[in-house]
Amino acid sequence: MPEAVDYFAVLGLPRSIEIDLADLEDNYLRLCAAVHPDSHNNAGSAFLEASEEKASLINQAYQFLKDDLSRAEHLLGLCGGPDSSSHRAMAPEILEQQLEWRESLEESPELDIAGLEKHLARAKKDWRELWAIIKSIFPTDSDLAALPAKANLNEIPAPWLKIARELLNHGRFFKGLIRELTERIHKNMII
Amino acid sequence: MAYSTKVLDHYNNPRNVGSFDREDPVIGTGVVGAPECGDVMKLQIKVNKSTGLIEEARFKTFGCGSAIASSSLATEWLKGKSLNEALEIRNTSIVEELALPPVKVHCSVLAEDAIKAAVRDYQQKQGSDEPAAVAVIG
Repeated sequence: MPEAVDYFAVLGLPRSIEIDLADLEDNYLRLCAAVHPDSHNNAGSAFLEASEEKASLINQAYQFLKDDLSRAEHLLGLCGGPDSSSHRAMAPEILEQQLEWRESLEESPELDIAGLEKHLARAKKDWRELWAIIKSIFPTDSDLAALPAKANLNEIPAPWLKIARELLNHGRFFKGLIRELTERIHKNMII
Repeated sequence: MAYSTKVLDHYNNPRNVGSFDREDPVIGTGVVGAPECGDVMKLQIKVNKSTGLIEEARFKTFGCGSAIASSSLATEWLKGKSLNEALEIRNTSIVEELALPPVKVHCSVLAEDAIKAAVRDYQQKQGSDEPAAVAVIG
């Protein structure tokens, strides 16, 4: 199902796989201030309700766009690509590698922060390499700008959409590993 | 979102956690992943060659509570089943038993996929002397 909302449009940014995070931050804060009830002291309740809805949409858009993987997910949706539950395929060797990695981490509870940091650095490097491939297969910014606001449901999906889907599926595992390692490092720091 | 008591029970006391030797010919191994959340699940079955029944099942799941509970429950259900019966386990039964909310249905799908993959792996190891039980779709 194509995405219903274009988060890039919500935040006034051009559609692109790579965005300037400072621009994102600026636009986000400006839009938040504009819909904040404090800027509309004399507004009626209907207006305030509408601005509350707008604020929630702005927050949602910000959360989606600031993370690279979820930004790519959103862009793929705008292009009419499949979501992860409708196209779950991924390379078996990536799965095996992830399982092996997680098992070895589980079997080494003695790993100290330095040891965990090493794993984290490797996971981040793997993700960066995958991200470079993901970026290379998305359409150019000018093609993305030309997309209709809502992708045409009847259009036959282009082959790149499925390839992109699989790469994003892989990305989810690297992100999960990075999150787990980060949590484990924080826990170790507390102890 | 709160987990159901059954999910919590399996999460706190997971049944049959562990691994079998993947090279052992009586072991079938299924490794699957959920691209929705990045969970990884390994499910293994140990088949008694003379009876054709699953004697033991083990799992290792790296993921959320619902994924752990789904695979833990699956290993309980697999014990004593034939391969055909194992392939009949549906994710909807897991959803029902664990009272999984809609956002966690994919965890049960993962468990069903893992069962199918483990059975398929076992059957492939046995080679052509045993007919494929059921065509696995998907």
